[in-house]
Amino acid sequence: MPERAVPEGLIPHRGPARLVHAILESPRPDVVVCAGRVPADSAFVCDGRVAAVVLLEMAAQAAAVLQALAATPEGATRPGYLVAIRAATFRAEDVPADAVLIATVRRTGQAGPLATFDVTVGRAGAEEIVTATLSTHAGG
Amino acid sequence: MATPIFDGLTIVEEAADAAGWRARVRVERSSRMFAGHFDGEPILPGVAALLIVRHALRQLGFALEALPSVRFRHAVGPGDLLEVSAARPDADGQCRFEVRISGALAVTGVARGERRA
Repeated sequence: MPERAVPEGLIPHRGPARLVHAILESPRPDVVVCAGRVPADSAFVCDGRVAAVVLLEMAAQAAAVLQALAATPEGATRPGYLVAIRAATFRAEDVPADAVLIATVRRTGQAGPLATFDVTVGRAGAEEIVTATLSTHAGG
Repeated sequence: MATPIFDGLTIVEEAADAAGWRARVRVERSSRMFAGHFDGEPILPGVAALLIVRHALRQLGFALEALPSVRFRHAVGPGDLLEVSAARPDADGQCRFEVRISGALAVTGVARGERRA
């Protein structure tokens, strides 16, 4: 699957809140790899750095992309609320703003509006910085 | 004295002692964190609460290295006043934290920190 931009409206995050920008691959229906970045003018940036914990937001958005790719048209843009995080580990305290980041998401469970994902986020071509299990609840 | 720690999050009262760290944090209506999150339904991104926990650990002399568990129980919106507490980390660096809005739990969890040099 060739790289493609995340279409406007695929997920409800817009403008500066949108941290995922491209779908790099979706090799299986339960997996997606997205690229993104936290821009220097983001509210999350402090002194040119982004706390690693913010990368969980990027992972959650990549999970929203995965869900939207599988959703019916009317359900595609409903916000999916992050309801739980488990076993999140951080291998760095922060990353530079504007660094290209890669988020890999695998859906590990789905029961109605609830879904669970194993996620990793790291800098392009480098070791992962964040790993976690996220749970989301589809709104609406 | 009110202290901005992140864009649109202002600590209006803060204390640290042997038990841990406590603060009241005002979520400014003007925070850029609400821009695009979401249109017509502004909600503070969940990681913003975790940035406060990271700040709490730093005030206690620790760097955030893991979040074994976090539950987001209630959405945080513009103008909310958050009551945040984080216990002083134990021998393993673990501590419980919670965020309340008007007494109601909004976020709860366990964080683990590494003592800073």
